[in-house]
Amino acid sequence: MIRKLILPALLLIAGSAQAGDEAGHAHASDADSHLATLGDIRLVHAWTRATDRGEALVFMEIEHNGHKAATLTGGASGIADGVNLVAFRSRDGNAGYVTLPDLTIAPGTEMVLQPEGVALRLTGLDEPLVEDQSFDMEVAFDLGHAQVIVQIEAPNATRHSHAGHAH
Amino acid sequence: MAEIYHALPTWAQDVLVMLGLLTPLMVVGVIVLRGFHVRPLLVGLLRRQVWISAVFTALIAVSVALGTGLIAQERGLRQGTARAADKFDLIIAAPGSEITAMLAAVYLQPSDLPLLDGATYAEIAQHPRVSLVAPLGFGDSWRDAPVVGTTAGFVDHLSEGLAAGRLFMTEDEAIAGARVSLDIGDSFAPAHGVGDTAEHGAHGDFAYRVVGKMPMTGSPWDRALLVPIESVWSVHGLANGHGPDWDGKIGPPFSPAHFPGTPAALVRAESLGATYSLQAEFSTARTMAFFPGSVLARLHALMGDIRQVMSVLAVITQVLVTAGVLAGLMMLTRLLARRLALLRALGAPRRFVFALTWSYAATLILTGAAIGLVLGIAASLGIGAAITARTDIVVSATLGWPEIHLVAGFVSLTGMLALLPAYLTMTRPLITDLRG
Repeated sequence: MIRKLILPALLLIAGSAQAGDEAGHAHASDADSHLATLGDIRLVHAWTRATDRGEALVFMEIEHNGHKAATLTGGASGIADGVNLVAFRSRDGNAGYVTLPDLTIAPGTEMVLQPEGVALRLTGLDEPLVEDQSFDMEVAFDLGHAQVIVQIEAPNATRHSHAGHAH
Repeated sequence: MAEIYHALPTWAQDVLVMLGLLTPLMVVGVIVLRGFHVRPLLVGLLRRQVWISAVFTALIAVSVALGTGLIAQERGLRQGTARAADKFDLIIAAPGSEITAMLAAVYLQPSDLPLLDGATYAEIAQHPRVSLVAPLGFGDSWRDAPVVGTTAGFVDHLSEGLAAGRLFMTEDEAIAGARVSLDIGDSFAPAHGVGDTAEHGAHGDFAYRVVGKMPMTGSPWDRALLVPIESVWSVHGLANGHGPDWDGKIGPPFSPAHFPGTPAALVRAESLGATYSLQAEFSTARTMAFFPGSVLARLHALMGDIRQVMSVLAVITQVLVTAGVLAGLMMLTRLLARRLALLRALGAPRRFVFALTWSYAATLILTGAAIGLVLGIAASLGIGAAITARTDIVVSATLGWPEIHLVAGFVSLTGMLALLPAYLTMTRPLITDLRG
């Protein structure tokens, strides 16, 4: 009787371990898609919102671990005519995004591109952005370019679905 | 198609939405009235039933006014609170709640905030991209006016030039907000604390003299008294922010070793991009940097869902009132049944009676909606004035596209509902109605 119980238990534990390994691999792969680097600069959790409009805002966390200031200048993407840097501003009761020529990121700081803050605006999108899909985008700095994978979240999302996870 | 729509300017999109909402009503109107000239009989019907028509129109107008007034008021409040935060580009405070710090620094709501120390303040002040930094010290009051310690630079920035007088130059001088009942030359003694529990006389016989008056800013700062930060520290028995070699001139630079602390600092940078860079640099374990405009926008985004619910409720209320009016209209047509039957006996086709009844209902709906729109704005202005008087935040509600869309959707929907009583009138038995 005990042997009958032990065997299924062992199989269950083995199955769980295998499932755990698979989940770990999946997560490692997932983590890779959430992180891009350019020298001492780490770009984490790039995301945007699903939309059928001709433009969208892309957000991410940019960690600058170097010793010299970096300047974010914009970007490029195969799915959009243009990618420019914008910042949220509220004036006389009306709020909106205005174009920024560039943005200095001091060494040792984390610049969070987020809704109602700084963002990269995609203009002239070729096709609607569909939730749960992703696309490649190049983020341009004065030091060079970084290639990020932008996750498309729900139309009303306020953050990346993995926000808070360490990578 | 969607691309063309999104490429249009916002006003053109709004006009298109309005026309789209009105299209069902216009199509129904064209089909129902096609080939008939109902106007003379319609005018006669309205004249004969003038009081009933007026009551039905008033009911519709009130329901529309409530809906549009509520929505316009919500937008006015949102814009008013955002406008009040315009001058506060970046706030740096000790780590904690952004909302609490914003309520204290922008809207002068009494809060217990941790302090930024002298070294941190000096680091901000000496940053090459900072063009203005000012401490904001709260805690004292005079009657219902908060006394805020700051620098002359901040007063100049907030007021964009005083309405009268000059900036403070000594520790016992003050600037009064536009709505403070003190004039230049008046003196006042600050109480320790704010509200009913404020301790009068806690600062001995120290008194300020008003030397300048700010213009209206449309914010709670209109009811504030602005004084040198040095005096706020001094009356609380603290160092006044300057070392032993101080030349006696108030204002920056402050000595980090003699800086007692400030709950918040307003920071302006050389450009918008520089302001965002500063926010990132001062978002650390020791400091919290935030844009009040962004915090408000996030709060307003949360309220966006509430606004949608309010809009739906407003439409439902209006439709229910109109359904009641249409039910009343059905009873009215029963009273008019003999006249309408006579009309048919004289040769008028059934569809003419249908068109006449529908156009009567549509006239009441359109007139009520138009009056309701005007009443809604009037009500909103009244409520806005009451909110401004209580909060000092200027709330100005005006007619906007959301209200026009709401009313357009309402008239279109109820115009179609009006087909029902018109149909029932058309199908009434002729002989029975003629016999009365």
